[in-house]
Amino acid sequence: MSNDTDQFLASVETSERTPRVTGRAISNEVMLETHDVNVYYGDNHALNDTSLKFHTGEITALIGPSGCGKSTFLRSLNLMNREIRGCRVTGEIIYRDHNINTSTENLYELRKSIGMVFQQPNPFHKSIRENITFAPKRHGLKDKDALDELVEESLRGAALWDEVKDKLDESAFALSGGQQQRLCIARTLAMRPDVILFDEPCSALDPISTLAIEDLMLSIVENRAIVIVTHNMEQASRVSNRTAFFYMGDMVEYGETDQIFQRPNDKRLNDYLTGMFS
Amino acid sequence: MANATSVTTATSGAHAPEQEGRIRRSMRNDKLATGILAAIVAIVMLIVVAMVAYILFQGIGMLFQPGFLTEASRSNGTEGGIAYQLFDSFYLLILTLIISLPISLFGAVFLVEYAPDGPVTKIASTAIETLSSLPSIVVGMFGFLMFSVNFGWGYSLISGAIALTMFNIPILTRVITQALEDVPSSQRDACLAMGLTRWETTLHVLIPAAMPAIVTGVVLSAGRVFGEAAALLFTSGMSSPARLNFFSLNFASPTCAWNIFRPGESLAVHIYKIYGEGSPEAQHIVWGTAAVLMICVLLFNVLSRIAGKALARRMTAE
Repeated sequence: MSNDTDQFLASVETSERTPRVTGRAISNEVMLETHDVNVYYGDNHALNDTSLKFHTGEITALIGPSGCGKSTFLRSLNLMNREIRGCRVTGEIIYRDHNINTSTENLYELRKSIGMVFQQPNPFHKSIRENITFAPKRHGLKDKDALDELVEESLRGAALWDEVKDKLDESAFALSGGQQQRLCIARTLAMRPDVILFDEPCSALDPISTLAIEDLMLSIVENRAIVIVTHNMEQASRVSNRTAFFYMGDMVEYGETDQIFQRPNDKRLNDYLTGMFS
Repeated sequence: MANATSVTTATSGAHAPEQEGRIRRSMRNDKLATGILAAIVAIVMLIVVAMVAYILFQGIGMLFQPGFLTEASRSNGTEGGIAYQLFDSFYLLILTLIISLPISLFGAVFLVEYAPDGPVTKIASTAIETLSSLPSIVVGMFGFLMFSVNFGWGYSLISGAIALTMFNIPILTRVITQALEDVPSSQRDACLAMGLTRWETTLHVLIPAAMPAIVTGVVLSAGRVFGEAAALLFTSGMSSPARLNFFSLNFASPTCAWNIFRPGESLAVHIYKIYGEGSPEAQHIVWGTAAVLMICVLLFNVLSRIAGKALARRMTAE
């Protein structure tokens, strides 16, 4: 466990990647935006008129106390809420210049472009290789060389290649929690998505694995938009460019991360940041 | 009642001797309960062990009798072996599984993955529950009237297999439903979030993940089907043909072993028949058959555990 993370951190230190700018906006190219999104679970109105923009090359953090609607909002962005019985989403979600929140939208094509990583690492009961190739194969990629290439590319992208390259055909469940989560990210990367949604990706991980995932997010954000729901304020301020604060189903304040954390306007946000409630 | 009063006094006055008495009483009761529970479990185990041991004691000798497992029965079962009954039991089991497994699997998949919450799902679940509590002799009567008489299949293995299917479907559906529900929903989410359809998710991820539990359930249900007698009396009949040809591929021939429209007799029915005839010379055949039947069912139980564990280990790479 500690062995592979050491190995990982060593590889991070030796790489000559330029550190990415966080804390402030760096792009004005919009990848995904929402207009007045409302979410209902049966009669329960879980999210109110939320309008946000997600920019290419930026990480946007969604923060707020439990039950504030941030995860609900995140799961609307790739229409995962449609899989929940009794859940209804209204409003517009604009991706590639058209509204995807329509009954005619092809969910299966859409979710290739808008990937998602979950709270609990959830690799399939398959080998490491098959975890990566499973979805691309179902989507029609058959060529073995192309698949092998995709496996290496995705695992390198998720900073996992060096740790698993000799055991690609072993079960994904033999990996540590942090490695499993990086495998899940690799699996998502294999779809070459424009947007990746992270739903509290580190809440089940130890601090070192958490740092590894954060570093990974910064390394893959180029040319795509990343949205992360997190309860960890340090994490939000470390990785994100912009932050949106949710409270009781409302999107209360949205801005550049440094401004949100250092000069909050809304009293509720200020109370939340100073630990008046959580 | 005595307990309740002692609690009130302890909380209101709390004198040390009273407290001590209460603790002593509680500990004594705890010991007593432990003793009684252990005794009950011991009695149950004793009954099982005694029964198994007695049947084996009475019947095991027959297993080593030359020809008992390899010869056909003669003189209406009072002489010879039980080879055909053994074969018919397994053949019935396989036929039953061929019919009931797909139905149960797809039924369970529908109930877990597709069916909307509502009256239809509730009615379907209730129907399946009801099917599992029907007396087997009633199912046998129904099978007789429906398949043997109405469809004109007579006493045939297929009639028997369909009657057995009616027991097996509820058991299997419940086992598979449970197995599918036990797959963490995060697996489902992962698939759907990668743009796979519900069907692809079910076929390639949920069913494989549920496979160890499904296999365990199928083999356990096989044990029950294997020992069934009442439902078969009127459907597959009470006798195997005098001569079976295992190499015949003429599936319409009454002597072809694989012909599903020929009558057949399971081990349990064989026991019922010979025992009912009451000829004292044949009693050792009854015991021998009972021993064989019981060993088979025990093997199913052991096998189901081993297979389930082995599959689970392979999939989680522990």
